[in-house]
Amino acid sequence: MKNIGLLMVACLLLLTPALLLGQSAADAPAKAEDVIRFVWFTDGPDQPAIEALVDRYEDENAQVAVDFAIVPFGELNQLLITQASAGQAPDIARVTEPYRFFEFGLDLRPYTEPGFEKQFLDGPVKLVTGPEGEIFGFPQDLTMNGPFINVSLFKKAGVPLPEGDVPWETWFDLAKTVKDRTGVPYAVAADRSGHRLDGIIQSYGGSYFTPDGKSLNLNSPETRGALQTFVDLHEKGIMPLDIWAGGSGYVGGNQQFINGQLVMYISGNWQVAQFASTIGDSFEWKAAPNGVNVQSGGMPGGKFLMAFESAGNPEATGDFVQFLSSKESLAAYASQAMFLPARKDLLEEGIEYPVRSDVMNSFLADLSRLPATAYSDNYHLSFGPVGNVVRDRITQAITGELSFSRAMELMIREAGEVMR
Amino acid sequence: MARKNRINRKKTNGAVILLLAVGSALMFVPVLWIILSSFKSLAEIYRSPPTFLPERWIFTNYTEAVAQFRFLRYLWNSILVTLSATLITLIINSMAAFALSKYQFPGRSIIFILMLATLMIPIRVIMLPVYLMVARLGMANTLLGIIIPPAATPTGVFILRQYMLTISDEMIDAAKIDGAGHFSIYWKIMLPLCTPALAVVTVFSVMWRWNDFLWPLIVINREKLFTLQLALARFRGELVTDWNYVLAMTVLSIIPIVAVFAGMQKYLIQGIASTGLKG
Amino acid sequence: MRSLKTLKTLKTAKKKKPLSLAPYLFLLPNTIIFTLFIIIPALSNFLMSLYRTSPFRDREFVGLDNFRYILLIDDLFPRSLGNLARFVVWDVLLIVVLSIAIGVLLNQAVRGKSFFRSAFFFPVLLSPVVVALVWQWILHNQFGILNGILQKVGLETRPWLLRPDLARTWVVVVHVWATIGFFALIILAGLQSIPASLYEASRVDGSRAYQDFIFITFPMLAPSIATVTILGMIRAFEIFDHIYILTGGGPGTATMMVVQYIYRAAFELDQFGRAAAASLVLFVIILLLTIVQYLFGKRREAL
Repeated sequence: MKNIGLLMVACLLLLTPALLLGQSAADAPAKAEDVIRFVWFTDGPDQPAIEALVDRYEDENAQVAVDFAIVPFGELNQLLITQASAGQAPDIARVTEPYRFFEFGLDLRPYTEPGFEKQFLDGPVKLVTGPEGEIFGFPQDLTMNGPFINVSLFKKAGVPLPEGDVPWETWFDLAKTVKDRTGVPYAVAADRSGHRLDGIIQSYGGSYFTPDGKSLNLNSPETRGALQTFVDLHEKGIMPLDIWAGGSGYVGGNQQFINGQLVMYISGNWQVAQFASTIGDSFEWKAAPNGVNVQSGGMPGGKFLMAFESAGNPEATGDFVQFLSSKESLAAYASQAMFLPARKDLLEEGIEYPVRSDVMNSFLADLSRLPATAYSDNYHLSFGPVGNVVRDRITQAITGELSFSRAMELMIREAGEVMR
Repeated sequence: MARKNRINRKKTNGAVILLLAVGSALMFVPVLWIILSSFKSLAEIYRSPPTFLPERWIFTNYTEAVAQFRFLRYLWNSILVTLSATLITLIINSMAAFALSKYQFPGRSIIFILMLATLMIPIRVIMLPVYLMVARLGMANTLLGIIIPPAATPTGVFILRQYMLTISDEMIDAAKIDGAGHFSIYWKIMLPLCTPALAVVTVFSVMWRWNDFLWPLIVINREKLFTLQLALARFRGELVTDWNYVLAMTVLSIIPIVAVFAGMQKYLIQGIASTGLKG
Repeated sequence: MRSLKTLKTLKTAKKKKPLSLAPYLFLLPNTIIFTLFIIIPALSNFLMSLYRTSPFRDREFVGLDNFRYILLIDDLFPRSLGNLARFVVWDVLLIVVLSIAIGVLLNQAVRGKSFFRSAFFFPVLLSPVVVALVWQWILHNQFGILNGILQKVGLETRPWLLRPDLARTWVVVVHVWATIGFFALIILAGLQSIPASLYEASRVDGSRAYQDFIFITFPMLAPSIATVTILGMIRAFEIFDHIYILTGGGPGTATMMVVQYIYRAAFELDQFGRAAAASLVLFVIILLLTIVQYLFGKRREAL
């Protein structure tokens, strides 16, 4: 019977590549005793900084090889959840919302020195602290939201920069005047992000969550009023539709600012390195303090390194984490990548930045007077999902798809749903 | 080919060329723009209004992008995955299509409908359970894990089955009389007759495998097994994307496939004419 | 060369054969992989739709709660379904019409044929990410080439991706641009398998080009057109990357499709159960459409 031949071909077909490729994948070099799998996403200047640290660690520890892989941020959550669900998580990963992976986290306490977590700011540490006090990682840098100003445009328009603390409205009116007098297309832009939006809301005394974190605060008069103001800014043409109606997830306004077409850009300190290199001398720019309505606003933020339960050796992972979180490593990292440090001792001593330390200091100054709700919001375990809901629903009000009150109603319902 | 053509009046010819020229321009200019932009500095890429030709041709986008990872290793992995996956896809899909088009057997309709329906399940939706299966079978972190799961693509089965339906049973019957077995009918008669459809599936599979980055990203967690598309994706950060590198890598990643396509074009389309039904 | 008589048998001939193991063996390799990596994962995904998930708690069985939420309470799921339906109809319609037109044009024996074929196929070579990125630049309100050109020639510029009606149109155009080369290739392959003898015979009868097209090309092309329609639908139903990067489903939610709804629920809001429920609803809709199409196709085959 020819059928037997057929069956054999079928089996061979399945097996040949299996044998061939299975082997090629299995013979990974086993020179080093421990392989630490390290997943990173990059925003640019952080990459050479971390690579230098990885190289140094490998030089100092010959028995360890770090398998360092850079993945796109957009797929990071999906990647980690999927791999971790199958027990294939990396040993360490750079993440923005560590609590989303707590069920897969590796408690570092047995593998690090006692008091490890006490070296960092308490707020960020909360985000890597598990329900039973486990420590799953550490805050690698701290970010601070705030506005950038195109000073040259202000000069050109003959508008003096305001002195001291002024409310957001003053900034918006001035920026509008500058835009009209200079003919640039954009007055004010804020990144499309629930995090940036919360920073503005904070100035008005609002927040996403009540300070105890138990319930939503979206319907409070302060939060509602700030959101209404934000929608109105788009209607009046002070903020362009391009950013908030121009995409899903995060949309930045850095392109417009770099081109000198935007008077005021509400973003954060992570832009400084790219601005310094791309803007060069084409115009004068600086950071301004956040608007002060009832209080100074802005939001803290940052990136974390998180350890996962994995096939790797937890001792090796712990040692690597100790190295990366040391004062020396973090000082080098923050300086080269132009980040703010989250280590208490480094914050006290200050970091030497290669360029534009004036800008970095301006962010640091605002950081020191953040309202308490900025911390309780940012370190709330549902901040990520709720921030996304606020972002998407307020967009529907901005584009006119929904009325403001309907958008608020749906926002509150959906946010309640994801918090349940 | 020319003989086949029924339109040979010159006027129509001119109109056809004009239409084709306009159409190709619409298709090609955006691509050309990518290529040109890959030689611009980041500041110029962000310029408004945009420039078409680079003000100053720079090549550092290429050199710097390539220096960041082991280009040849990634390229090799991509080629290996694309070729072996396409080969497996072609063979198992055409076997299935042969069964579904030339045999009557119980369960045929159900299998076919099921295939068609699952054809439309987007991979993103079932990524997690598929990966769990891959991990359970020990294929996580191997190139095999990228190659095998999408190989049974219902799309390929569907294209081939549709084409096989149009092929006459005469030759099969004749071969049967000569005493040929099932497999040799499939191998020696059916496959050669299906060249055009096989060519389409080849193109489809090569394109798909070459450009896919999400599945390899999930399956492979060791840098030495990364494919070229993963290298391209790495430049997309949370807050900042290095478009200059993305563009340069895009151009580099399409060069091999353009070369393959250019080389295969004769066989792909013109070759089709000489096989087809005349077999 | 083949005669017309043999050709007739092409469409109808299908003989009963005695039951044998052969077809099952031919199906075996494909089916094993298919079952392991599509059927089983799809089933386990469906199971997930009965649970409520959270990163902080064990999953909890909630019965049909997720379905109740997406179908009766949520406003975004019905909206994304509506968007998808509209998108699929226009996308498939344009793809079918244009692929036939382009296929026929490319089949003409004109100079530079190979060049034209390559040019039309070129966009297919690009990954969705790159396609979306390039078009985003072309259509950008402020930086885009299109508005730049319009401004230069003194025409009115438009916020192409910022108005719902315009964004919906462009999403279709960009997807068609990116995929039409592939579909035109299928049509081209189909055209080239039409025996020249058919046209020669009709030439003898003195028929005109358009008559040739209606009476010979079109019917002979029917299987290829069916392939294009179904594959076009598949591509349209699973649309995600192109739109996600081009408009992100915006402005607002004007171009949010079902896969993006699922993606948002799962990976932006941590609601895996709800995402699974949405994908099950999408699957059922697709299955029903497939059965209708299959029955319709069967009837045509039988004719």
